[in-house]
Amino acid sequence: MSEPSYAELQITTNFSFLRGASHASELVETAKALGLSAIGVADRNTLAGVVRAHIAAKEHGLKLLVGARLDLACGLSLLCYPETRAAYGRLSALISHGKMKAPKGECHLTLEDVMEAGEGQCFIVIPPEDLDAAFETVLARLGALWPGRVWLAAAWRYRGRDRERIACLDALGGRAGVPITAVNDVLYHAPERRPLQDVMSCIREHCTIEEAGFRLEPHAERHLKSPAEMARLFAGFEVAITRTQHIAARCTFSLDELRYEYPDEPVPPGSTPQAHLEHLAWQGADWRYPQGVPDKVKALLIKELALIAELRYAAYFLTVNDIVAWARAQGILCQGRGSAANSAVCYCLGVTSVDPNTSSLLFERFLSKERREPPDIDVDFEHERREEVMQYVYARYGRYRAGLTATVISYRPRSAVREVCKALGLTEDVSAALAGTVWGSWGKSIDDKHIEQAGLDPKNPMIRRAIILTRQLIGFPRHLSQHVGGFVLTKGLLTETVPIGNAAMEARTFIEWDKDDINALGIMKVDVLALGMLTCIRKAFDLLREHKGLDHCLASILADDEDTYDMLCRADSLGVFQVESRAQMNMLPRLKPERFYDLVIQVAIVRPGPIQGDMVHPYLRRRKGIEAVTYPSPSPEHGPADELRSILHRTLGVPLFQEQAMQIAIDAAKFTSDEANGLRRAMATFRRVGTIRNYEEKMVQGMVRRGYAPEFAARCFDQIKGFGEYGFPESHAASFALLVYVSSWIKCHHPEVFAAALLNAQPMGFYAPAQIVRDAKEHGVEIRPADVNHSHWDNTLEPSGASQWPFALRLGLRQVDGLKEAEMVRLTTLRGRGYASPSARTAHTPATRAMCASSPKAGIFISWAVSPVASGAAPRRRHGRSPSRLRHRARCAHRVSDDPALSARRQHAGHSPARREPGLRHGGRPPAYHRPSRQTRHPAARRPARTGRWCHRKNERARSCLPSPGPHQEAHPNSPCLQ
Amino acid sequence: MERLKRARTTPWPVEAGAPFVLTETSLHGRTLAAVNEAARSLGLEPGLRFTDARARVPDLVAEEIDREADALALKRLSLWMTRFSPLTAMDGPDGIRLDVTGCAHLFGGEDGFLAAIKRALTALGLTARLGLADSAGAAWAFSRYGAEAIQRAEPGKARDILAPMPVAALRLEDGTVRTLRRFGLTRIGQLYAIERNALARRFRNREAAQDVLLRLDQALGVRPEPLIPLKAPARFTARISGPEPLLSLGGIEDALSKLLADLAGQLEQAGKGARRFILTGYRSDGTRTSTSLALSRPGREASAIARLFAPRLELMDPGFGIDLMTLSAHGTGPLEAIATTLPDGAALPGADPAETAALVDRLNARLGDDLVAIFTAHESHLPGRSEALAPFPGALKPWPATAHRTGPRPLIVLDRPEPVETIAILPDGPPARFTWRRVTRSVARADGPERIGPEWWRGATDGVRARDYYRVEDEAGHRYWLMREGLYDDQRGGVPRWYVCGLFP
Repeated sequence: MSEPSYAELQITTNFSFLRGASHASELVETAKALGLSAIGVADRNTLAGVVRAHIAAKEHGLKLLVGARLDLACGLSLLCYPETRAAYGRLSALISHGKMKAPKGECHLTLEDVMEAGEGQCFIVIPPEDLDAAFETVLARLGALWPGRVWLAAAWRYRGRDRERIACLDALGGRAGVPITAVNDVLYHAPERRPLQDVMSCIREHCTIEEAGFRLEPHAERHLKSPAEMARLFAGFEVAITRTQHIAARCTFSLDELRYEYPDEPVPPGSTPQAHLEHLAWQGADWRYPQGVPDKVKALLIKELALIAELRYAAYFLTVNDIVAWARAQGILCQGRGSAANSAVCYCLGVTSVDPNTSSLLFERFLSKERREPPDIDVDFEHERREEVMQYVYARYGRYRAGLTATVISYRPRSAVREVCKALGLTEDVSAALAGTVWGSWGKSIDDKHIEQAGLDPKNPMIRRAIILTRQLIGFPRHLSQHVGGFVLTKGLLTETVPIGNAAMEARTFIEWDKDDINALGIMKVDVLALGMLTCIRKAFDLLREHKGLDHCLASILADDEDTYDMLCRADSLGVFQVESRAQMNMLPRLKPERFYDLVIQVAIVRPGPIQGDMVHPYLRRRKGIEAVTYPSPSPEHGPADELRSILHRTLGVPLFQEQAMQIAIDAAKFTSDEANGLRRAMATFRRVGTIRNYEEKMVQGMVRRGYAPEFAARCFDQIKGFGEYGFPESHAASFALLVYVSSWIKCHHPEVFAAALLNAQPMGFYAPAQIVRDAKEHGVEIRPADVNHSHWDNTLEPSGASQWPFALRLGLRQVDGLKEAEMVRLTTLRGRGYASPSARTAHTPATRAMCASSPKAGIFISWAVSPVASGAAPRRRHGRSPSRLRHRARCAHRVSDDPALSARRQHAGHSPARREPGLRHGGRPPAYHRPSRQTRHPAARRPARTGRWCHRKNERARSCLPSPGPHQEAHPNSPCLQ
Repeated sequence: MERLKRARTTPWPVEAGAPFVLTETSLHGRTLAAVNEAARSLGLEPGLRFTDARARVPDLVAEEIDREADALALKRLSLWMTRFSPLTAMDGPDGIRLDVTGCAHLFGGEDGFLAAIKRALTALGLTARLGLADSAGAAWAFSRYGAEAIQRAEPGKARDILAPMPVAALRLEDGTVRTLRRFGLTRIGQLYAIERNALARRFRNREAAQDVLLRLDQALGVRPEPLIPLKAPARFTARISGPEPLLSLGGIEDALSKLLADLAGQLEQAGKGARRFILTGYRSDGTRTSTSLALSRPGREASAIARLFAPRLELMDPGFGIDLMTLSAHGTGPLEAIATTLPDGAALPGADPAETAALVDRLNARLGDDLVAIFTAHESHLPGRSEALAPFPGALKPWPATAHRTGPRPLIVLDRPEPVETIAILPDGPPARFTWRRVTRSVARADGPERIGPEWWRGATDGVRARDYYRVEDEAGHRYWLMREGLYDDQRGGVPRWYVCGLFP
């Protein structure tokens, strides 16, 4: 008898969360080894895992049927395998439909929904436990609806009475016109995974393994089985085995058929995308260079447009341009970055503002023909207004054509240990101890020593089991979440390519595939990201226009301003984009940036990559001229000595950027473009998957073989590892450097504007408002306190009297803790020329309790403190009126004024200049506010001491008397605002 | 009012006069939880971070606080304090509250009362601060914030003594105290002057405002603050004192029947039954003896209870004679009506639940409490573990249906599976013939296997091999439940063995 052929058509991967216990790649490998003719992957109401299965199947040359298991609201389950691209589109749209009407993570489908999408699909109905008349009716209905395309799944379940049940199903199917087909309901690739599957069931059911009982599978039989084994189990029903071949043969659809097209909205009728892009680019060039387009830029544009035409990426650029143009029309500041962003085309389109004429970046590499990968443009928008942009994208392309990319949230060591220990019934102590040992040891095995150090016995079978299971669970997907801003847009319906579901956030929808998946399928995405500094810069531009009559945009700031660079060299960069962190501040005086490209390096150098690769110090030495600039070179017989010169000459022979490391892999270690691509992917997912080690040997050995110093090769690779998750390519650094320069320029020349804009853009950046205000003060800006009669919600500028700068900074009410914007806006719009007294204010705006509780401590009523009305007149007025309508007003007036204790307080230190001047407090109280009487109070009445407060009085008086804490002192975490 | 400062369970680690602190791990890291006088005088306060404290006092000795042990010690102390008043309760982590109404005169007036408590606690090696006032709130304030270690207010005078105390003495949350301070209200007396509504309006949330008013009222005794005593006196108690001491069992039995009649009456009036009865005899020499009885469901029927008590009465040693006997009922609850018939009058199948319960009570009374156990369903695929013994829960519960979850199970299951010799088809076919109890049987029909994997999480105790169960019928029409332990290719030991596990009648 010849070897039977069998295709396993009911496979659940770990994308049926907490059900499937094997990765798609494991299933594919095992299936190939067992000699299955094809496999069908069907996860529960999702296509999330099919791309991974597709990639694995392609790699191993196994036929894959892409499908889904549809669990319907009525309890019926069926597997759906599309035969064609059109049918796949219907399945994807069906799942989208079910997901969009359900909350995140769920999918609600009815049999009617499925019937509508049934054309071109192969269905395998999964029989319920009870083969009752109702099921037979449904089955007959399905059989009549799609004759010849519905099968009934028969599995050998090892539950006793299996043969009887299969015979029963056979008879039932015969009556309904739905023949049976063999399946094995696979949950894992090998029987050894049963414990993991049990534990996952426990996690799913929120119980321990002891309590789980019948919720677990009784045995380990739900793994992939060989065709011979299946044939043995289905002896007597051989036709059920052969039918799997028929189904597999019918379903010819492969994910490779997904043809992806960009939306054509931005292209005017009668034009092609390429022609339109060229038109826009040249138009933009004239706008950017009113004095005539420089030859260098002209040449660049011609070259780039030719490459775009060749790779047919015009539509992508147009889509990005469309979003950016809309944002600009709304006055939303934005800037692009990414490999394709720093091209002359993008500069002319206005997507980026780094002038290719003046900067010395290499642009040829922005797209490479060999890499054959979609271009990547990330666009940063003001963080307060990004949602508007996202909603515009949804509105313009429609919910069925635009979706955010997903992010697969996987089990990490800590979460895996916790869940496994909980399922095994181990106590919190044990799981906490184990979690402590695995922290940071990605992918490595936890050795006995670690376990002993945690105070646990490594020989204890329960601990052993927990560790083994944890190791298996790490890297399993747990749920899908939305990507920060990666949009996928299509010309046709996106739902016919990939299912779209609701996100937890309102008005957001996202697709089921993550960025690696869409990359693998060659789908392009536009990243719509948020950046706080853009908000700040836009607000600064607005203030400049309003108060100083200066009209600026990102590209119009005078380049190479010496004062600005001098300021940066002093590390006077508080609040400035990117270079405000301690590490960056430390680096600034050492690097001494003098021109724009220095800033690009400055941004990139304080990153994990160059630091791990130990590239920082060589670069600094060479920059100072202590060390000669040399280029590592191969042995003469392997190539020219200066083959790395073109890559490294801009950074003095030291690789600092991601692209440089990649280019070294290609040029020096002779990676093929496929290998380089693999390395790049491994880099991106380094922490998650840990496949990068395979490339380490290859790259280091490749370089050493060609005569490079092993030490240099190892350092290059260390740097690649360091890039892992925090890769910083040159193109990103260039875009960021521009923001560094612009924000520094504003800070240098208009510190009062900068401080106001930065405060109004909070929360963002490194520093608390208190530090920003103090910094502004140190730069000679006059700071005026928040005041009920002068402040607006935002921080504002007022003409200054005598100070160094033309304007003084008036702190806004937003800096006061606990006040609400809507109320304060009302208060400020109604106040006219100011409230003369508390009662006048309350007559206009009924204040809330929050306001009354917050305001006195912030001292915003300073305008009244000198007014006699506040302490005496107001309360008396209250007694004269009684109608309930007035009661509320009266109450408010009363609240702030008529309480003797309060007025006494006001006269006390509370609102003295000493208290108000620092305004925004740091944590330590100004000493003037300490009441000496405290020391004499009864010991039993003392309140508990608090760090940083008066209990430090004795020891730290000297320090707290300083006018302002030095930069070494951190903000008190609890007091970012006025107190 | 009494304050327990520290529970000292270990030998004192420092010399007298040296600073010593207890620490705990809180949200802000390791902080001081308690300090001694020496540490306090150096400026250390509870709540301070330990690192800061150590920076100031480098040779500071510290230990981790044991809150649980403290709580336990406080509870013991509270129970011990019942000698001063029957109504005693723990108050927070460090206080004990006594309702002394009608107790003080026993110790010679309130001053004498407080002095007696102080003396007793000092003898135990505890430092205490005492406060006594009309209201619990005021007493609390006195003990924590009073100027003296013992502070007492004459009736009606608490208000004046409270006035200069800080607002924290009102038992308010930290945030509320801070808010009050911010308004310049630091003394309790300042609050008297402010109109109540005006006071309440100052707060951001209603709860905090209500809290201030509540605490103020409680301190002033305007609003009541009930004390929930640590040990509630039994609600249902009957007592009987004979004219002369009882010496014989018969006398005790008579007394019991009278007590029972009384108690049953009380319970009936309340419409309740009790699950536990305690019979206590107070002997004439001041000692006592007692015995108790537990029922599986609340009951009050005097004759039944008397019958159950009978074997235990012998355990009561009258000694020199019992002159007072009490019977108390505990764990009271409504009597559960037990339906013995269906609405249409037909009898329920199975044993009468009331009778079952009575039987269990009798057995328990004879053999000891909770010795009667019954089988309950346990969710497990392994047939041997599908039931478990549990204490009788008071009524029989229906057996859950497991039809779908397991394969067919025989009515007769052998205590121990009996090994058989078989000839079977590899790898997992049913046997064609097997020899059991020296008789060889040919299999005519067979069904299976039902495969059950080992419960891997239980370790090797139940074996590590999967089992296959088969139903087979021999040529004579007898049906057997056969099992093979292990698979032929599982590589977990030698050749699998076959067993007969049960019979289908």
